[in-house]
Amino acid sequence: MTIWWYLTRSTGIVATVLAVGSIVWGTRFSARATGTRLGPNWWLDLHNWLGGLALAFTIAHVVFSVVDSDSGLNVVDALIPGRAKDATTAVSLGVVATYAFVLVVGTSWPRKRFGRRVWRAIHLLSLPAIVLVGLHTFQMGSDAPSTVLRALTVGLVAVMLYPLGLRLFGLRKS
Amino acid sequence: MKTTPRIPVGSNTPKVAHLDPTHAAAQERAARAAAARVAVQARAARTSPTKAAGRTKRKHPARRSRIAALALSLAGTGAMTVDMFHADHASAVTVSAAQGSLRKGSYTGAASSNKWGDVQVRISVAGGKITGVAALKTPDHRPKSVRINDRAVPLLKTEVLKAQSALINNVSGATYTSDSYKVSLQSAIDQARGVATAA
Repeated sequence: MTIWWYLTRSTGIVATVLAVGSIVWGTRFSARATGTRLGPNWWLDLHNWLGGLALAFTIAHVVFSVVDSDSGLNVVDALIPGRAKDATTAVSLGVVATYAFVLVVGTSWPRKRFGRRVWRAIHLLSLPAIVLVGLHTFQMGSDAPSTVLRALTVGLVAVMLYPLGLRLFGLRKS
Repeated sequence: MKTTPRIPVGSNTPKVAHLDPTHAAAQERAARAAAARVAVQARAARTSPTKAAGRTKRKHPARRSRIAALALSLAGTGAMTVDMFHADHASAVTVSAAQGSLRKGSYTGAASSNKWGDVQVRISVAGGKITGVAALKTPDHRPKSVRINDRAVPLLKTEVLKAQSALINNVSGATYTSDSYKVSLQSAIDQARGVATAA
């Protein structure tokens, strides 16, 4: 097993944590639940940064998986869902999630070029995308039985639920 | 209601100020300062429109947090990579602990189970070396397992013939098969060395 395999797995996990962080920051910003200690600009800036960083680590994850000669993935398998011979469903979920993140981050920088509704619809793709990432992680199998990864998943889900509750149900402090 | 009588603006002050040399000097200084400010703004307008508009907006309010996030991400990636590498290699070291020369013959290792099924390996020894490795059992309940093992088993065999021990690397995407393969292989090697095994 080459070093690329370990890098593939670790960059994937870090990208997931960063994506969840970005979603949490963005949802709290959107719910106006950012508190008074740090300004909204700080939250928005870090949200943008975490999103960009998550995409960078996702791209690194894809590149490492293709570079790893043992993985059995080539460039086409990594770009087109359903082309991978091994773990077809898991890889396809990852490919679709990657495209969703590319759209979400790519439409954030030139945001003014899009209408608010279009931008918002695209931005909301990040939520189903993170669910696909979770399925991708647990279907691939290598780290699925790891207690640390399971605990991390439970933690990330818990961390996401609070701001989502704030945003969806308006659980604001009076 | 009483009203305060207003003093007409400029009734006597300008005359006094005009005659006051210190006031004239102050006016001159203020004019110079204003000219300097205009010059600075003009220079800023050439380099930064934000500064020209009189704003001192920070480009990245979360600059420190950005650096911290990047550092943590890189450190996390590095730490996990090292941890995964050590975890795989630690198990390989454990299964290759026995020493001794290999006796000629064919030896079948104990079957090793994992969540996808059993793996069992047979080795052929000649001239004190492993000359052949055959996987007698591999997980085959799912088409996916068959595909994974069709790819992984030849790679593992090549590794064994090269390393002449169970101290081999796992195959990417076939971690369970690799681990069980090494356990069964070590069992076969132990038999070839005359080391008693539990199986």
